[in-house]
Amino acid sequence: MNNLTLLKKRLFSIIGGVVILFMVLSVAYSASILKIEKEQEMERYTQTLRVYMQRMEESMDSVENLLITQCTNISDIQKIRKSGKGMDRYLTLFQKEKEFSEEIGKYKFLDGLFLFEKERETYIGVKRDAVKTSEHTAVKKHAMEIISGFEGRENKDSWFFQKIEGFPYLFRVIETKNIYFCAWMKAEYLVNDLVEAEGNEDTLIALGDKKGEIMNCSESVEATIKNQKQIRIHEKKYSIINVFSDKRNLSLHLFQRDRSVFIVFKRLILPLSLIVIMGVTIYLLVILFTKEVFLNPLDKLLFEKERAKNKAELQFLQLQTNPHFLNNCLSLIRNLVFLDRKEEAQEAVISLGKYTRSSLNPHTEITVKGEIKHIETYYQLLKLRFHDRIEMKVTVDSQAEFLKIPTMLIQTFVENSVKHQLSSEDTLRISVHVFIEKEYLIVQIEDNGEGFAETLRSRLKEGKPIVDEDGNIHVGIANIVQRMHILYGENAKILFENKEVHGACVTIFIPILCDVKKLPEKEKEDEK
Amino acid sequence: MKKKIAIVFSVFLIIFCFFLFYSNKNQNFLLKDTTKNAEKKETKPYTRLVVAIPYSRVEERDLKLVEEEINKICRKELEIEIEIMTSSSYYNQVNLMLAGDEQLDIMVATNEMLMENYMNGYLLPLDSLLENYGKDITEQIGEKIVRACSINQTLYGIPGNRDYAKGSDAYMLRKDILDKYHINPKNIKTHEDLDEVFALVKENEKDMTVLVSGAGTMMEHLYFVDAASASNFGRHMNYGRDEKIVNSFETEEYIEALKMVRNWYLKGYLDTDDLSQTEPLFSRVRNGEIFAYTTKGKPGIVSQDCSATGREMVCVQLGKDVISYNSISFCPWTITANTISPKKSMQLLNLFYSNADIMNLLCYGVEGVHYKKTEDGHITYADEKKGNPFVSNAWKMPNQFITYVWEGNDLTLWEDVKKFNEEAIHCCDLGLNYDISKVYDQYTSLKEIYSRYRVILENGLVNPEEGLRKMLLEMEENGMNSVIQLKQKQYDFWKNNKTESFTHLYK
Repeated sequence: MNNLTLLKKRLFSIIGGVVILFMVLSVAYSASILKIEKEQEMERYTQTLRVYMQRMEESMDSVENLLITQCTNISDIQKIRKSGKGMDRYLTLFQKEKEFSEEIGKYKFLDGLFLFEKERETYIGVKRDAVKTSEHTAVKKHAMEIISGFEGRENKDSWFFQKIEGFPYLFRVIETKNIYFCAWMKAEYLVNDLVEAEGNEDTLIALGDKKGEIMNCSESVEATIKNQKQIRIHEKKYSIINVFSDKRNLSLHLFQRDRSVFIVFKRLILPLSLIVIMGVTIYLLVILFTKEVFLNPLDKLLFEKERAKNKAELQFLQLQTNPHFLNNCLSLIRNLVFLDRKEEAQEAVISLGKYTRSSLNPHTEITVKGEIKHIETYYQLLKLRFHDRIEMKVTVDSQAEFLKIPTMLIQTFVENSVKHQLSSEDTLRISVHVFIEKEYLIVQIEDNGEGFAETLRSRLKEGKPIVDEDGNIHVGIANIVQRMHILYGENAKILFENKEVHGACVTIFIPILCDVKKLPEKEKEDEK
Repeated sequence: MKKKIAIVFSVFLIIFCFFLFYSNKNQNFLLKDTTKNAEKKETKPYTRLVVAIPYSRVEERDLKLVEEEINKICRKELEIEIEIMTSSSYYNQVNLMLAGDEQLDIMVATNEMLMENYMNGYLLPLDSLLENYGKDITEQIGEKIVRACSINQTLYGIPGNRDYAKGSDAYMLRKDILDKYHINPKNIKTHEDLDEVFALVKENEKDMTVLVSGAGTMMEHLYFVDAASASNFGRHMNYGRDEKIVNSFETEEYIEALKMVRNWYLKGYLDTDDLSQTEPLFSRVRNGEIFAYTTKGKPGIVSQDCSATGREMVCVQLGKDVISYNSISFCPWTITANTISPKKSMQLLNLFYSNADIMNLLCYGVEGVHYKKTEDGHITYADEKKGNPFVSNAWKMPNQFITYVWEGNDLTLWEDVKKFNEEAIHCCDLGLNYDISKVYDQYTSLKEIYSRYRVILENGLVNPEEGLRKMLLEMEENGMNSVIQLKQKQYDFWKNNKTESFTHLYK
């Protein structure tokens, strides 16, 4: 369960990391896209402003031409100036008004046209349909001011801004013989098309003069724009695009509200929440599926050795209760009793008891001494049965006595020899030799039987169970090989050899894991 | 295990919801698109007729609303749709369309457009169409009046139901000023009486312009002056009853009138800067700049002007009610040669003249948007501040007599107007449209000369004798006599051959 929590934590941090990474990436990506977009937008705005500026300039050019044409009509002007007879004067003035009303519609942006005679304060003027009458009235009322404003100017050959009743107007006046021809455009209407096309609460459009002084803007802005890139209007930050006219007293400014943070946020809120939700989903799914599919197999892997040990023990226990052997021993004892060989029978019962008891040893490992004792008990039982037909010699290095070996290690091989090599003619000689060489405890079991068949040997080496001719499975040696592998890994090995004369030889190399000399005392203490 | 399934399920549900949300968004978008397309497709089967109406100062947006409402009715009744064409330069626009073979089915022919387009062959003769598909029109307008739009015995236009007569020589005065000086308007009976009143006001109200023109010049309220009509050149005097056609500008009446206006001008009653006046009349009256203005008498005019100026006004009429020329044909509805279906066009006109809903839409806009009904059965502004752009155009529409009555008028207004038309003096050439095609060049020059002089002459800006002499000289040089002679010949022929008398209009 601990492992699972750890795994969950790790998974959480991994997925969390990935989610955060994705979020950061999408924020960065979005920001960069926005930057490009903004640049493009600014470029487009600049283009629009330039085109619009050009249109205004063209219109102003043609309006100027109109005024000049009016001025060059000398006969009309003289008729207007005539002080005596009113007839021609009125006719001409009326004619002018008609002319003006015919002309006014032909010029884009031109809001009004008037003629002003200073001496008699005669005003003849027309306005474009869309212009309010109140604005026309205002211009008419202030015609004198406009003219004096014009007179006071140094540069008389240009358009100029003048405020009439608080609103900025753009005027162009041409004077001839005290008669003034004036064209006017209200600043508000001048940029009206542009405001309608591009303007909104975040995009303000302003008209200024060539010095950059703002004349008209949808928000009240009083500023002079030179080359700065940003401006604050009502506490809000705006970036600016400026287009200055080359030949006219005009400039156009576009203020774009800087809302990139808001836009990024707006754009990302959905993708980001999706990423988070996906992350959580993936996390939950992974947890769920690993538990079912992945974690449980892993669990198996983690505890496989333990389980293998348990399994070996079980097999071992199975082996211990070898019913044939037990049966044989019991029939031996019965025969001995039947033949009235009481002492021998008694000995057999005691040996069987010893054997069974040591067989029931629950540990996976046992000291060499213990194992030898066990074999000797087994040998005694065999001796009672087979008398001279079996002979066993055991030599153990005193140093090796207390080293541990797998339980039933020697017993299995001895039993194997007895099982397969015992014959009624020859005496089966088994010798067990336990000694230490370098860092290995070596156990050597030899017999004088027929030796291993070649196929058998290769199977034994691979640790596979042996199947004999009758179809019985002999798992004993295979189990030992497996157990050895579990206990010692690659360090231990078993050699299956045939001797030069008759017989097989099994040599088992077991690595000595601890200091040999210290072991005896400890082991002795254990025994007590 | 159940818990796990629940978690997995809910997670999938959330994801599913998200996708649903997204796809829904797109789907809605698609749906909208398809409905748009569907709408477009729906409109295809209907015949679309183009109708030109000289609306002034009606915005495209408002017009589209009206158009759509009218189309709802037209689709149902005639399985057609209309497209209203209007323009601030109506005359030029329509002429361009006609010359360019563009589709134009029905057109309002203002002023000389009836004659001009007749001359150019742009008008369809309507006699048989009217007979077959325009039963309701004849019923609504009256057989006799419809015939008044004939040229050379062939019908080319259908007049609208409106006031053909005018109360001549009428003045609208501010009642509060009259009361201030204890003047009873009923005692003003002659021009001398009026002059006294003006003198009194001039004396005491220094800042006020005493008299201005209600429309055109200071003389347009007189029966023998009609700036926008061919009747100016060669006229039946004595309220149109003299059978001899004369040059009205040479008559004693005209000269007297010029002198009177000049007199007013010299006494300072009039605007000195009349040419440069920028503000509209009613707002000047509202602002208290003006005491009186000339007007055209007719039923309901006082209450109309009261609401327009926001002041109590009194109308003094010194002349008589008169139809001084064939004003019935002043603004007829015609079917042009560029129509795609003469039959459907006449059917549409028939629907216009007889369907009160369409007429209300054309005259006053959409109910609830442009006007609303009042409790007593009148209609008024839906929004006082925004006003109503349509109402000032209502007189140009086919049949005002079946529409609502605007607030401020008597509910019997349309009956009153009928009575007014009937009881007014009818000129002897009522029902005759002079075919001036043979002298059209002369007519054009005369028109140009008059338009130049009239403003300064009829507003008293110059000495009338000198000015008039110059104008008459120019007119004579440009064929005034030939126009008069032609008209006289046509009148005599018409009079001897006419089958109907216009002594009574509606009987």
